[in-house]
Amino acid sequence: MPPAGRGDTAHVSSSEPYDWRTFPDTPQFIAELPHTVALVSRRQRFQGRSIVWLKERYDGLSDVPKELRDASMDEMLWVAGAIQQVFRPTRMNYACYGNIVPQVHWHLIPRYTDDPDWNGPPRLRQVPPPLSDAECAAMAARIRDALETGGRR
Amino acid sequence: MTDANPYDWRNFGNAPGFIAEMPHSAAWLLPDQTYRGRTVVWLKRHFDDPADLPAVLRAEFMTEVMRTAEAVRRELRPDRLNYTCFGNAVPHVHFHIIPRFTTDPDWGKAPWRENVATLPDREAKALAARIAARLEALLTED
Repeated sequence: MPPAGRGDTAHVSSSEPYDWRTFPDTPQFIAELPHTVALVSRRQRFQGRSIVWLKERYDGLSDVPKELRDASMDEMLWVAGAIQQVFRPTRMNYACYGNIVPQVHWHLIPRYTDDPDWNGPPRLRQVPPPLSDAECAAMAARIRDALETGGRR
Repeated sequence: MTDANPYDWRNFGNAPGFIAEMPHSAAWLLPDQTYRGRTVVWLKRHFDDPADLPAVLRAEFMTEVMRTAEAVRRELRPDRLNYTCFGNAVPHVHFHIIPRFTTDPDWGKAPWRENVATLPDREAKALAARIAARLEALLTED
């Protein structure tokens, strides 16, 4: 089971770790899309870092039927486009791990030439301290606005 | 494509860990085999970011990525596969497929270790051939 706390899995309920229905009640909530839910990460080592979570229960990417995989990747890239629009990173990094929570979700990790790991893989260290609820909600609102106004590059 | 294209997959075609050429991509074992079986699936056409790909090409490319991942899974039998699409060192669309085991010293964490392990060419070639055979078998299943 995922550890409780205010880190990367803070949006995940300890009793229903795979149920996205609780996510809209968290300050991290950006938007509900047809097949996914978008959330900002509490830990913002990379400004704008977010998660796109598949609603339907699938353990790994290879378990997801092709049509759903394509549709959910489209949504993941819409969210990436909205993050691009708001924060103007130099690159976007995409990762699907599920090492802690075995439910398909994509990490969207904006990269900047002055970020601490630039030119290398993003290290998902537990620094800096997590955003407050208000900071989370404000960042989520900015990304949501970009998503609603088109978002795509 | 010009001769000077630094993203040309054929630059990697002679790597000992080369696995296969597919319609839209090519796959090979990364020289860094810290996570044994770590494979790259490289888009043939040059695009900087997956968001730039036409939808049909992206879908077909992802089918090749996932088929390669399945071949890696059948050969290595990992407890999990990690997928990344970064392009920080080389700004060209490619996926890394990273087999993970519960016995990894860093199980539960993102797949990055300071100490890099490589395979001797002979072993890389043998592993790539076994993954290629799995890939070939999957094509006949499709």
